[in-house]
Amino acid sequence: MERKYCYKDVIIVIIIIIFFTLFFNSKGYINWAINLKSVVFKKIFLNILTPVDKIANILYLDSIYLNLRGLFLSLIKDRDKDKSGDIPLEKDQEESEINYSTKNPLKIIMLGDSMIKESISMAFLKLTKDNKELTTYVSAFYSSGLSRIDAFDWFKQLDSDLINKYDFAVIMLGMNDAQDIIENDRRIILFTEEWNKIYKDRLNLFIQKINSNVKKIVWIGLPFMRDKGYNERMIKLNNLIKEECNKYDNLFFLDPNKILYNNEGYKEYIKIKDKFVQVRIYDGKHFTKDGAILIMEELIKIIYNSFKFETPVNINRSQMIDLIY
Amino acid sequence: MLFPTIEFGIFFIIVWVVSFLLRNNLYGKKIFLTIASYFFYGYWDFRFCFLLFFSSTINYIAGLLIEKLEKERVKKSVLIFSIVINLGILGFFKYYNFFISSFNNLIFKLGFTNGLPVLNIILPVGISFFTFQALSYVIDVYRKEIKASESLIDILLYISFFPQLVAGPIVRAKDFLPQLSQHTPTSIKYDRAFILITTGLFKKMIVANYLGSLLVDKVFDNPAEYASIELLFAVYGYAIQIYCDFSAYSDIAIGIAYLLGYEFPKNFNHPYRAESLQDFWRRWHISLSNWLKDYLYIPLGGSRNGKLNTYKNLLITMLLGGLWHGANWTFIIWGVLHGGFLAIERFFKEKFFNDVYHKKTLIVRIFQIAGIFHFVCFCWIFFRSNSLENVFSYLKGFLNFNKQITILSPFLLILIIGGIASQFVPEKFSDKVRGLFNRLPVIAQGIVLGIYFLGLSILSSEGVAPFIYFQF
Repeated sequence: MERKYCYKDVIIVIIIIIFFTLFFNSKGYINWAINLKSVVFKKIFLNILTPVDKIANILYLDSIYLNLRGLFLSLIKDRDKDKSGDIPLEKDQEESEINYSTKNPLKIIMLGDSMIKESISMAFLKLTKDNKELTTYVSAFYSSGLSRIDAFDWFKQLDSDLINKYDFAVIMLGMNDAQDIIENDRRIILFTEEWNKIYKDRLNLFIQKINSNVKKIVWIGLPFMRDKGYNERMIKLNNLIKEECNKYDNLFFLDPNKILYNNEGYKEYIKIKDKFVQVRIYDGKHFTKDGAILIMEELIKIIYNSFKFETPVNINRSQMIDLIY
Repeated sequence: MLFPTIEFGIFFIIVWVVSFLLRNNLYGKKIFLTIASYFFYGYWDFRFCFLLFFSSTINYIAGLLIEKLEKERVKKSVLIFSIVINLGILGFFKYYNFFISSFNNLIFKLGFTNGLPVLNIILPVGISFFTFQALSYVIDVYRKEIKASESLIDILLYISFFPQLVAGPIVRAKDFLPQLSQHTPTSIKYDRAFILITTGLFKKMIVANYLGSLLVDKVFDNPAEYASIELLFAVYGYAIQIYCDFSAYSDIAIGIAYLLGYEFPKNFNHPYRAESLQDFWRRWHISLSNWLKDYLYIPLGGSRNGKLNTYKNLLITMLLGGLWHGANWTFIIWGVLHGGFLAIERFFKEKFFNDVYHKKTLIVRIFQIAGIFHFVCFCWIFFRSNSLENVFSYLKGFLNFNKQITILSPFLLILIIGGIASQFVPEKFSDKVRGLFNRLPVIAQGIVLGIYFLGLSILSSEGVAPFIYFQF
């Protein structure tokens, strides 16, 4: 027989569910509130959630949650990183003197967020799978960036990534960075003068850390996005990143908007050799495999033009385009 | 706004509390739910709301005209006009670029240098679902299966009702509109609702998201890089992922509707334990299968005009069913494969197995279930791949015997095997769980659900992936 429930019963159950999720995962809710676009809602929710977080801290509820989650994630750890292999530790290479070869490959490190993880690194590895004179290590993390180093600390990550020495670094970061920065429990609003200064400082620190370990860096800029507001924020951020990148002689800023769109704005499809090719996936943010291949074509040109290889390699556009079809 | 997000949680609590307060004001509740549904839809892009309103209004007027007009010929013209408008909207947003780029590629091959313009069209979320709902309303009015609604707000709410708006189930007007004139019941089926919502969230946040991000997406993006066994398990993984993802949305939608006092039809019924492809389509995306049967297969002639015509109708129905999923040759071939197999299956059943079909041994049934499952999995390769080239490189990848296994982990195997095993759990099991749950006092139920939600949050993957069927 069916048990009958009234609205009061449902309200009691919902309140208990909210209590559990809110107090045990208070940090998750705070992070969510920080990322809200509306300043008013952000303020309201932070005012509610901050005392909850304090209570959860005192009672160690959040640490129970975080420890359990950490334990579970470590059990199912993505094996991709192991696959990329260990790069032998080498010191004091002289750029112009070295002829890279299959025995002495050019060591590349790719750093970034989901753009690197989902499309850029995959396209690059696909294009260079037969190029034994290159070895690539990928260190990419979803939702990471330089705004919220409290959520994911790229500087700590660099310390472990850069134990080995590399010749060349490819970076793509920023798509998760158009958000307020939290520093010393203070929220700094996006694109204010203070925000720009902090972000630039972090960018420079990030570049300098990598720069001390590699000979050349390519920073892949942010592409146009489908959503109008998001696109505007990305353009602003891209200009800021580009400005800082230009300060470094050995850093090349690779602009995907120029490569894919001739700077004309967001398009899902572009025309290549009289054919329409889909370059962005349905979320209006990430590249399709073909879109990523087109950008990687330019990157590979930069690699082969910047470093000496024992056997000269010819990169020709039609070869790349053929891969797309 | 996705179901498993904090935004949706807050939105739903507000909607639920206000609709509870309006429970004795039928009209007020309908207006409020309509506004809430438009807010929910506009959260993606407010411009889509105008399209939804336009589509609803056109169908409302068409329904009234069809009922009020007397001449059959004029009624038919109104029906055709409304079908053209509905399919025109769907065709423009969903298929324009596909057909134009296919046409341009063809004429470029013939030596022309100028093609038709490809537009930067944003596909409105759920357009295929609400268009089919709208079509079912006008066609049912024309067939006199339902009376045309006099109330515009009823039609606006029927087409935009937020739980099923973006990914179904496709609810028929004759099932939903009568519910709008009934007062909200004093007792709610909250036990059923919460069991549907909690299992839905588990299927989406744990099974579908992990299979997608740790296995399926990687292997389908780059099949040449992975071992043949990984390719095989990625197909099984996708079969489980798409089932868990899509049925999760349906379960949550049905559960939410229960909480608001409405009932939606069941959309999935253990599809991977089907013993024939026909049986599969009675268990998979049931609301779409029924829609295609009632509004496409039967009007085409169904099985009335001889065997050959039946096979042809099956093929056409499934081909269009494939195209409904998206503007890509991969979907068309997926539909043709299903339609073709349905026709072959029917031919063999009628010709050879008519008498023995109901006298199967367990071994035969096991072979049939495994066979159908593998055929469906094979078709999923077409469904999941972005292009035919990807399909071919995937199939070629099955020969990667020398590659090492790199991403297939025990965790993924547990998800896949568990997902397949769940298909064979007896339906009574869910009733038993509900019975046990119902015996608990309300506060204990709250604690159980609180711990369950907390567990989900601990085990879930980072970020929220959109439901697969949002793109359709």
